[in-house]
Amino acid sequence: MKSKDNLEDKFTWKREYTMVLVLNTLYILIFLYIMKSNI
Amino acid sequence: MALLDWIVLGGTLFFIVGFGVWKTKGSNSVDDYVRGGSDAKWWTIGLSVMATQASAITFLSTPGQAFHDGMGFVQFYFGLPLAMIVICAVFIPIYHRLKVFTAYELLEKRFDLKTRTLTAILFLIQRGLAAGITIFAPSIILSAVLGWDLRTLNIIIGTLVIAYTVSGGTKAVSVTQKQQMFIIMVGMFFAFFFILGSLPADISFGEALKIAGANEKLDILNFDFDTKNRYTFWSGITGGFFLALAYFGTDQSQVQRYLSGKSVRESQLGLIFNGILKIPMQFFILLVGVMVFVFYQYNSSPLNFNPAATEAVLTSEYADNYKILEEEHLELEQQKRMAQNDYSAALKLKDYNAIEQAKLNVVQVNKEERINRDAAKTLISEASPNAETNDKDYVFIHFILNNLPRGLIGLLLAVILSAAMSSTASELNALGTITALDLYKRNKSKEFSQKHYVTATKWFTLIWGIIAIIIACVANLFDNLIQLVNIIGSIFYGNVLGIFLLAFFLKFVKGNAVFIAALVTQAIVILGWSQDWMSYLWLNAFGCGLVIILAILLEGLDRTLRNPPIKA
Repeated sequence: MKSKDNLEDKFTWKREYTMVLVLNTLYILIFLYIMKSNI
Repeated sequence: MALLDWIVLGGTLFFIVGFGVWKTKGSNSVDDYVRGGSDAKWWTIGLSVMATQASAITFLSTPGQAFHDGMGFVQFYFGLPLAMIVICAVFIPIYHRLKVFTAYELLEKRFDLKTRTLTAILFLIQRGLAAGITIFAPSIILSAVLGWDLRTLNIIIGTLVIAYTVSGGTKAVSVTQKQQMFIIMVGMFFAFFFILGSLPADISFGEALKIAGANEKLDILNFDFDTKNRYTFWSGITGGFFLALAYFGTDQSQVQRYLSGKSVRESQLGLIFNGILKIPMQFFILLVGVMVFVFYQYNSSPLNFNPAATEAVLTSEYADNYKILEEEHLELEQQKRMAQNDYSAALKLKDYNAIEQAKLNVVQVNKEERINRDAAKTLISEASPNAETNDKDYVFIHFILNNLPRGLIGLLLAVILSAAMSSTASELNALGTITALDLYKRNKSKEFSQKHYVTATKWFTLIWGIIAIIIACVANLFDNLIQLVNIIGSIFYGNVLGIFLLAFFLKFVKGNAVFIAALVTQAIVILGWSQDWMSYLWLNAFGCGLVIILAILLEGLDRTLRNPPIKA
């Protein structure tokens, strides 16, 4: 049963995850800007 | 091809293969061979993960996709960063703590042997086919445009990959992928700046974007809720999320890359690296395709980019009709150049009425050109029903061979072959590992030495390499190559992902329920795909949801039958 207990894990949020979300949101906003400004 | 191109191409490839073999020979333990000694740094993992996903198809098809349909394809990757976060937070810590060699080993610890074996077999089927296509895709295109023999090319690519993958295992794959990614990025940047330099002197990058935008090539985002439309913001963020979660979280060809990490932290940072750079990289490759489109606004292009299709129609009874279309194409190209010059002049004068009028003219001529190209495709189909009329995969290679200077052609061909080798290497490495550890080692009645299993993994890698070459030699091209690989993935991934999510999050569900649910789900997903119930991207979410629901229902039913409610 020890191996099954090892599947238990606390979800830890790290600042790198926030960075991924912020940067990718920024990319989408840049795409929106490129799209709108070149029609 | 000039001698300089051959030197650049041959030198690059043989240096990478030779270095890979020399640097990584002599693995004696399974940990060394399968997990690269578990000492990889985050940047090695990040580059290796990116190189595994970016196959030759990425660099041949994607610019052609942008050339014809614009940049909407980038939306396909919008779910990927979210998937990276989930894998970093949930999957990686568990994989590392259990010290598994393969992703499916975890399923035996959580469920049972038959679930592990089933997922391993599903992986072998879909990844084995994909490995063949990964070799076949660049071979068919390069053989068509360069006149090289298809089978010889398949065998050369396959043999080069087998040489270092069998010899050095995971470490050889990682070492060569770093160099391959370097060559790929350098080559693509050179191509991009060469295109910009080849545009008329008065066309800046900003004006090139305006021209692309006027022709609907910069329609990057589509917020429509249409499940039949392959590439929308919503399908990318949801379907793309499930596909990325399944691919990076449960596909051994990717899991093996980050299992080689020195620590949980190094593995997580490797995937964060991918989560940050993947969308810009795909955007850049699509932008190269859009710039090729702008380039061909001022330069001649063939009516159909696939030379084999053109030859087929020109040697048929439809040759005269095709030549008429070619003459119309030439006339349209002249009109297009004049319209583009008017548009550029109007942009410079900032005369908004003239800009609007010129833009309408440009769009109109491009629409007529597209109609003409479609008519040519219809004619090709009639002349040769088996010919590939979809020429997306030939646009970029045609541009490379006919417009780039000597040396750069060799470098771009090295980019394409490096990409083919990098993804094939990860696939063969994973296929050999799964066969050796999940099937062979797990089902042997007695234990053998580490050396025995290393040798067995090498043999299985070699066998899968030969199978991949055989698949490449018998494969037939249909629709868009990049989509073919994604379709195969979508049919199997959702189901496998659902099994992993059950393992991680729903502890009350046991092995028997999961196993039966997985078999039923796979049959329904294949039926759904063959009956075209939905766009293939949604099959991931569908398969994933279905296996989870079925497993919960079966588990509930099983418990009810075992412990029927006591009547009062």
